[in-house]
Amino acid sequence: MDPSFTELYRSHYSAVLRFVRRRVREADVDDVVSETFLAAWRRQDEMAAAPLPWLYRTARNVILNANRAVGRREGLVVRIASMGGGDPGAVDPIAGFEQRQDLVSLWQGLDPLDQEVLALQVWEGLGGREAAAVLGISRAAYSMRATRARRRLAAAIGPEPGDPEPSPAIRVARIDQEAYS
Amino acid sequence: MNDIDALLLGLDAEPGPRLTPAETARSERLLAQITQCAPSGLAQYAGGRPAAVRGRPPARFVLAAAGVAAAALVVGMAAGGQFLGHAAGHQTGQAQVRSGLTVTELADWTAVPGHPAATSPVVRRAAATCLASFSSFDAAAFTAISDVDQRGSVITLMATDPASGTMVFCMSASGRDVLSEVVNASYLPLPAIGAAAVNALGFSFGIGSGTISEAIGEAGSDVTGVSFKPAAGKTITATVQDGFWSLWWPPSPSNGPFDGTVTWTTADGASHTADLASILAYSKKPATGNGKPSAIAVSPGA
Repeated sequence: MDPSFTELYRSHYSAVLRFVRRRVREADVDDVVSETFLAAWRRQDEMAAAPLPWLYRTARNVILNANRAVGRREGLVVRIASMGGGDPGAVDPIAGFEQRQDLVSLWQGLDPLDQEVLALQVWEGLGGREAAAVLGISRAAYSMRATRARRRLAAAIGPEPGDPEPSPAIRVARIDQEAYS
Repeated sequence: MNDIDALLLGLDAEPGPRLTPAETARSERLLAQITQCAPSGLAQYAGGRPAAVRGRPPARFVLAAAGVAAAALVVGMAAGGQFLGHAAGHQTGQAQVRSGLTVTELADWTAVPGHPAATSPVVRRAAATCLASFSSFDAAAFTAISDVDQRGSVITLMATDPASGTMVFCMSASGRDVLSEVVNASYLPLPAIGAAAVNALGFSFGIGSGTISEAIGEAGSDVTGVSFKPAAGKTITATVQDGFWSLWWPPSPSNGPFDGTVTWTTADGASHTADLASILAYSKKPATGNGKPSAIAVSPGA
């Protein structure tokens, strides 16, 4: 067994698994992960500089091609925890159910590429240059999309709780919370 | 981190970086399977066989099995880690998946094959399509067609040039060449085999949805039937004729395990079993029949 590949595989398997799980149904996860690491095994020379972005990009291509094979036309959608997601031990920054649902709806309304732009930074923890490499776009184009996607979400959500002018959606959510508290 | 990012963090569908014990075990199994493959290079058959693959569509490569008797893992792969193999089907209008077959063709697969006549138009068409993919052969010389196997609309067969003895294995569907391989040629002689034995000249396991797995071997003169039971999956009946057996199947699950058991019956009514990998003709450790030492003759130097 090649020790360098084994080390790379064990270092990145979990990250790739989670990346894939965020993007495909559970039944397809193992297939995509298998194909991604098989490609990695065969093209180790290409990964020396930045293995993780390379793995993410390859996994993404596997998924997109599989989608095309079965006639799916939509882009790659990043799955989110609609309810009860997140680390159960952590403080949930989205306190209310309705507020979470608002954010879920807003996320689902984003262009798939905008979802990907944000997901790579927030959930995969990549920097702008690495994330741009995953998507095969320039750093400038990536930054522009990321900024635009954040603004779109921010505008829809409105001011943070405690700010003087909450958006109607958030205001409704707070009223509902108060009614049940 | 800004506020939007903080909110999105709470929506992460996969927040836990740690693998469960089951996930760790699965990842180690996958690692072992992957590192059995040749890390690079073009198609070869399992067991160090000389390059025997010809005429495959560009969407499909076969990775060599690096170890003796290891499985060849089939994937559609192109440079840059991107995958090909999804061009629209020319005949059916359906998208082809990585095997080169369409979703419908895979769905119509049957574990027990039909055997249309070698002279039937559909078989003649399949042979012609396959032989056209071998640019170095005179297709008109391959007048002997045998081992015709039909599963749904997919036909496999052996075509032989009686003059030279060159033999090819073909898979075609709806007028498309899906898979074609040299089975016997002057540079690739067949190993001798005992009357009651079978071997595997080669096999490959598909990885991922839309792939296929296949196995081809020799059958001794006393062998009357061959079947294969994948480690996960139902028993598949092989086509057996003129000293060969062959079969293919859509793997399920499509990520292994990459093994299974071959069962064959002989004219005296006896039944024999062996792991597929153990009967690989080009293996240095052949074995056959109920786990006992092999009776299969192996080609010199193999």
